[in-house]
Amino acid sequence: MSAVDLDLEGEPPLRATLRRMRHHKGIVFGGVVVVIFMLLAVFAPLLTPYDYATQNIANRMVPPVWAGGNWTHPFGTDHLGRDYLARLLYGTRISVIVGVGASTIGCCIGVTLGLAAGYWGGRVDRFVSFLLACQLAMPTILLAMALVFIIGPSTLVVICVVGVLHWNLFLVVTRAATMRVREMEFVQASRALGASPMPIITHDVLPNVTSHIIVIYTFEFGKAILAEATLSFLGVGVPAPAPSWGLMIAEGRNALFFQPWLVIIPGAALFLLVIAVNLMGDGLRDVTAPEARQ
Amino acid sequence: MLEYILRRCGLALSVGFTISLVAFLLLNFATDPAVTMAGEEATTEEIERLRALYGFDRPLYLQYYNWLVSFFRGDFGESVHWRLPVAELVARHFPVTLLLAGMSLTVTILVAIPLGVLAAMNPNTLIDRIALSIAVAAQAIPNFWLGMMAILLLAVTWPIFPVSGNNTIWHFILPAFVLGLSSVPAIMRLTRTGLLEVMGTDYIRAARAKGYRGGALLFRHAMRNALLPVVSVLAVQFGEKLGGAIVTETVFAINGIGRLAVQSVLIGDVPVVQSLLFLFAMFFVFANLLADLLNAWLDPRIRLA
Amino acid sequence: MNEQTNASQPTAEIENLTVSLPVPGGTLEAVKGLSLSLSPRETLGIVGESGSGKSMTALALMGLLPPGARVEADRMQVGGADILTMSDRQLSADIRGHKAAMIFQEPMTSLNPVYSIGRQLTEAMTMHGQRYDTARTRALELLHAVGLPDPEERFSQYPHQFSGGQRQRILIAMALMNSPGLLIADEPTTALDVTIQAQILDLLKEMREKLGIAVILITHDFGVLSHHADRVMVMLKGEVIETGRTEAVLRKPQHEYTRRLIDSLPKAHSRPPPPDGTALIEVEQVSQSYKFRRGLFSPIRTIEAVKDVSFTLSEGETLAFVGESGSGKSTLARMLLGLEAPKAGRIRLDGTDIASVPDKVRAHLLQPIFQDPYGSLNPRMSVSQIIRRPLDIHEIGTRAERAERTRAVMEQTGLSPRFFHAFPSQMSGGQRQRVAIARALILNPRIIVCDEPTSALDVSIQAQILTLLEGLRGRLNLTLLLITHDLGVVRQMADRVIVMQDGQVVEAGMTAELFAAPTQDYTRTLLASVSAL
Repeated sequence: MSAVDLDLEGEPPLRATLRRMRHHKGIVFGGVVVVIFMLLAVFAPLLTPYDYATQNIANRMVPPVWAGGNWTHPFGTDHLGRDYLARLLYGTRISVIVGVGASTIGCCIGVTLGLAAGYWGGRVDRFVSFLLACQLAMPTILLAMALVFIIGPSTLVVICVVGVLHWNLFLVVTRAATMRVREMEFVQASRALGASPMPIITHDVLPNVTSHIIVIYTFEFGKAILAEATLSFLGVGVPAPAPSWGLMIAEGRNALFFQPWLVIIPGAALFLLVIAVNLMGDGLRDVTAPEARQ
Repeated sequence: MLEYILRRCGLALSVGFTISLVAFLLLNFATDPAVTMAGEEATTEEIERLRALYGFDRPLYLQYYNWLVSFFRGDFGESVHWRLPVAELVARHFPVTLLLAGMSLTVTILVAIPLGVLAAMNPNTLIDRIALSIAVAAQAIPNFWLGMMAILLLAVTWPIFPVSGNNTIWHFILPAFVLGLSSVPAIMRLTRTGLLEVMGTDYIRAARAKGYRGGALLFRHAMRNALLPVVSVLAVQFGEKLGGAIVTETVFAINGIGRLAVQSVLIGDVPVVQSLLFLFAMFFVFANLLADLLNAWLDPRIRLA
Repeated sequence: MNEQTNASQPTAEIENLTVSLPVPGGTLEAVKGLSLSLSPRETLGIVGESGSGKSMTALALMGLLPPGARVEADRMQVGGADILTMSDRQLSADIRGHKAAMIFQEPMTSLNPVYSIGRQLTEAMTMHGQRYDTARTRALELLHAVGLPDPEERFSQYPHQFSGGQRQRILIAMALMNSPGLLIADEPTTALDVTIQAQILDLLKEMREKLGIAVILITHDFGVLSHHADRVMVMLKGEVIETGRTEAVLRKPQHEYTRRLIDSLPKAHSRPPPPDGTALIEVEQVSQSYKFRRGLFSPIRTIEAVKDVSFTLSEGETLAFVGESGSGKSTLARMLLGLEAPKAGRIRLDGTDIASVPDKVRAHLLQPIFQDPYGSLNPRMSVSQIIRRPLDIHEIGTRAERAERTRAVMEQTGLSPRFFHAFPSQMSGGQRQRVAIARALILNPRIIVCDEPTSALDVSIQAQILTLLEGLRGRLNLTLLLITHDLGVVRQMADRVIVMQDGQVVEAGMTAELFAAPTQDYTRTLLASVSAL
């Protein structure tokens, strides 16, 4: 057999990855759920006639429709008589915004440090590794609480604090992948051609670590949502009366024994959104993993 | 070996030092401790008096030096709110949290490692899928919500466990399970992938060619290699249990150091928050150091390097 | 050993073996209708390229096929035991490590890093109820026999404390612990340095004669078989296409494929002496060393990778650097390519000191081709993007001109235009190496530095790539600097040879003269270790 006349053995890598994504159950399920949540967040005002902050003390603690309530308030009302469905829908916005914002900040910090450490190695790498060791040792929740408390609670502050404290995975993965790619001969070929570091990083290294970064981004997206909910639950996150799901759980906590749905509903929403995001992450890792590529 | 230990200790020390600096600067820049201490209705004179009394008017590096020196003498400062030495507060709350952390780590090990081994020994079967589903679910559940659901089901609907508090060991079981479950996904996955990877290595193939199979192959050849990375991650998870305890103790009303931390942040008790930040970090650093030493002891490639 | 086997009964026998493996979208017949028979003290060589089914045959004999594999055969026995009817438990109790033992290609990773070699040797016996003392005595005896120095002292040491060659000796000893009648060696020397390779093959031969065992030697290298196998079996795509006495097959190959395999082994080649061109590269007393410390507190150590090397490369000639791994030949290439600067000495490119040659000028003068066609191409770029990358970096020509030039070099290197938009993952190893060559040619360099250009390729593809390089050298008047451990390649391609060891030049001379009359011991060992046909 002559090597020259052999037919192409399959499809281009990007198309192959997309095809594998379409056939991956986790990605499809996770993706559909995430898209639905995004749509709910965007079209919240169209989906409910109520405002998330309007109180109606006369109509407080109405149970949801399946627990003996009525269709005026399908998910019932909370201790201040606010419509729970409206709060849940508007709360989606907070979760999605925090998720995108915080993981983007973390991604920028971690990927930059990881590329630098992985590409230049030596002293740069030792410095970045030391930064990482310090970051890992920081008690994240306590530090985030302290920071939010000091700066003053708001959604923007929560995004920044969570983002600044969640870059270690981006760093670790980008650094390892960059080190691997850096030693590959096509990078040496570019260096022998006289290319300077920046074009090598953007053309040779980055395209080959992107799939890893996307996977981490997905997981960190889920983690950021949980971190925001936790901070809000502890009282140092998104301030009332904003309808953060974590805050809703904290407010419903006093009524846990008698009106458990006040806690169950926002928690279930959180769980569903994060599990969908994580399933996507797992799936993306499956379809882009090198062993799946052969 | 000795060099490895020295290097690890050196790293631990420098990390601890850096974090102490961060903890100190953060809270000193961000807030005026004298104002916070004096309370809302204090006069300017009172604030100035406190400033002089606690040395807040001295240069920053001197303040840091004094803070660090007294820290290592066991003097963590005094709580503004409780009007007690921080060291005493810590001593009162720490054992409770340590018990919780230890129990939850036990839960993690007992659940995650057998599950990971089972999954790796039966890849792509029903067992594997169940194990992975547990991991995916446990990773997505907000821990504080899981705690409340556990209370609702196992303390209220079926009153098996007490609702909250930390009077007896019985009170710790539910929180330990909730806190322990948060580490299960990471450890389970690591055990599974580690073991799968080891089972594919040349030395396992060579052992099979020697006549090893089944349980003997697993326990006499594969396990030790697969568990080496698990040990370090377990230590990381143990170090993070203090942070996790913040949430769990709040949910279960356990009077440990996590609850102390939340209360101190919410009332702005700077000396307590500062000390706890440093203490949590040192606990983590120490747990990691222990893991490194354990790793060196288990792995001849480090021990005999 | 193995007295129970009488001479008339074969040690191992297979009749009509078929192995099918599940692959995405069906099954693959990895072995089709194979039969073999092996007597005591006999060595059977199985030769074929990767994927020919040679390893699957061995694994089937051990009952170690990957899960899901289906085995069918009329008859399959080792040492009188019928493998076909045995359960996995019986196989592990009676066959694996007992009647048949196996050693693998990678000695560096075939020993468990966390257990001492003593434990790994003795457990082969203790796991079946033998006493530890008996096992220890036997293990020490075998370690002596395989030539491991100070077995008693090193018994409790760990694998990382041994070299690759020593580990392969330990693995051989381990395989022999229970006195098996059959030893299967799957590419036992491929991962080792050439001088060590010969030692391990000789050791296998000695063990076979001393212990009276039968050996199956699996390899892709016909050269290995010529001295070490009594009979050979040539496999292609799961089928045995030729079998017979080694000398007979080598002298008169019956099958077209066998002939190609034997022909593709590089042979001596007379080339007209190159004209005395101008000196393109002048290297004067160049040294390179790396400083590193194992840790924060340990002293700085220096590794001298290249010591005091001088040579000249003239226009139009092909100069080969030969040596084992760690001899400094690749470091030399990295310095020429500008990837690192020498610690001492001078390198002049076309008359100018390398330090003052701008990167882009140097790139026009010399270009590299690397060893690994899988690692040398960016998997995220299409073939045309990869080949024209040098033009992009140097900002030469318009888009259209670059595309045109790309097509031209693709044609020169024998790449069909259909590959223009293809990605490396869609191509075979040989095709990828052509892409790498095209990328090196696009700037019209005068020198090509080839770092092991063929050692990652299958034998028949190697010959094609070498032929391509030879053709290009003539047509484009290229100067080649060849870095290799493969003396066959040297003999085919090079005008001059420089032999390196431990960073120093051992011997230099014209290829034909050096091969005919080496003056240094080291060169002689190197040459002797290549099994000539």
